[in-house]
Amino acid sequence: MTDRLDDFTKNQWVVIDDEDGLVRRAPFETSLFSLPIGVETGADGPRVHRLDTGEALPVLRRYGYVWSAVDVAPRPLFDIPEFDEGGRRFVPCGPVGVKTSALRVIENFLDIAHFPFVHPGVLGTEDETEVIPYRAEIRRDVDEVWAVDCGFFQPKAMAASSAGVHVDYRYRVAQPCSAVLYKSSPGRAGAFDLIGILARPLDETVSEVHAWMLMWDDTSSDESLLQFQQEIFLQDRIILENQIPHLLPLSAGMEIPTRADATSIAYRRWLKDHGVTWGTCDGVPEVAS
Amino acid sequence: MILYDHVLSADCYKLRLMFDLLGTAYERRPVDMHPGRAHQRPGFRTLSPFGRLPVLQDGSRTLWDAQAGLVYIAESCDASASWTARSAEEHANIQTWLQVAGGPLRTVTAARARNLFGDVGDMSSEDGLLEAITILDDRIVEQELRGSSWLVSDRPTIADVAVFPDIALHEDAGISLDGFSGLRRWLGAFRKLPGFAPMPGIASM
Repeated sequence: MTDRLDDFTKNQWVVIDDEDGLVRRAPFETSLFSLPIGVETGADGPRVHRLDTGEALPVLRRYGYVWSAVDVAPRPLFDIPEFDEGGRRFVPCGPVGVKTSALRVIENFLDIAHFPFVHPGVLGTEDETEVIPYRAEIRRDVDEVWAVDCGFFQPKAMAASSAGVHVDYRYRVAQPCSAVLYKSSPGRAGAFDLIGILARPLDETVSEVHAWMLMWDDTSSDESLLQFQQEIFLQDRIILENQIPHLLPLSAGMEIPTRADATSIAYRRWLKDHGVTWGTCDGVPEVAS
Repeated sequence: MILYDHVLSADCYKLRLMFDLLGTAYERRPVDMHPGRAHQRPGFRTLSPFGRLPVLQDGSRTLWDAQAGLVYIAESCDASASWTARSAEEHANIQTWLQVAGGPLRTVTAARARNLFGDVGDMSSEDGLLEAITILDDRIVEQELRGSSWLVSDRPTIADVAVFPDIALHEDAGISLDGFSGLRRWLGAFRKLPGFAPMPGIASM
């Protein structure tokens, strides 16, 4: 399966676990792009190596997570300046296994139109299903996909929300398997909370997904923040696991997009522009036909 | 009553469901079961000696077993006394399925934990998983032949509530119910009960 790994995907840092979670689990064996890997903690910090060859893989510690890569010299990790600003709370939500392509997980995260149907009473309501037109763009300077001017009425936008509000959204795909959502904060007028999703492809159609929150919230307990986000992600998970094919189609015609899918269209085009094949239907004839 | 709870726990869902079906208000105290495994810390074990969720507190009473919690909620809050036993035979039959929920059905709970949380979860064996599902499906079909849609007697009881979460979350556990039409009909009937509230992972029928 690893021969399906394209250069762009191979060059990326990929999440292993959050710092505390790694310490709790280590030593453990898992996978990265179908390669079996071992993860342990040492005096000098976390270590990752391939179980088949014994080769040590690079390790990076950033944004509360431990990252590794199958390439010896991965591209620099994307920048999230809000992590260095202080004031917000960082809450990593732990790993959740999902039997689908990591790219499907990211695409679902970018989708606004599903809120009223998959997260009723929380992120949407069946009385207000309209997706207000927004802009999706591929930003060539940073080589990322962005969606801006997104807005949606949400009954309970965040754990700290006490009433329904109109929420402003910005989405950002920083890597094929990493996306960040900037969402107007119920706890601080004019400020944004960040919610991120990091997916590690264990295999082309099996992923371990790590969600995190970086938010202005002085009142909610860690437990209630965690369970708020976990409940939302588990609502998505059952949809994701039932979405066929599990590999993401990049060619036109397999799935019919609507105007509300502009971010998905930009994401798929960006992946295609970079020659991404891992986790896609490209070159898998039985899926594409 | 106070429920020490995790939103993704099927065992906690049993008790939330019982409260919802009875229309009884309760207080939820979230516990960081995942990823923090707070339920296994020494402090929490003073409430729950095996380090398990849910834990139910009512005044000075503490109950740390899901099935025991169901019995307690139904016995204290069900004015109609319809969810608990009305005869010696019902007592015995309800007890049988509560034991199944706390015993053989743990294989389903374990399979779900493995799929959801990877090696973080309960690593007990999946041997007997299909056997447990088959026995339950057979029971429902037998009951249907007697004119009932429920595990025990002619009405839903705490036995149905004890079994429902693990079966309803079958997709999370990687189990297909395609061959188990009795269980599929039973899930459908359960979901129509007044007060029923789903949890994430329960597929719409």
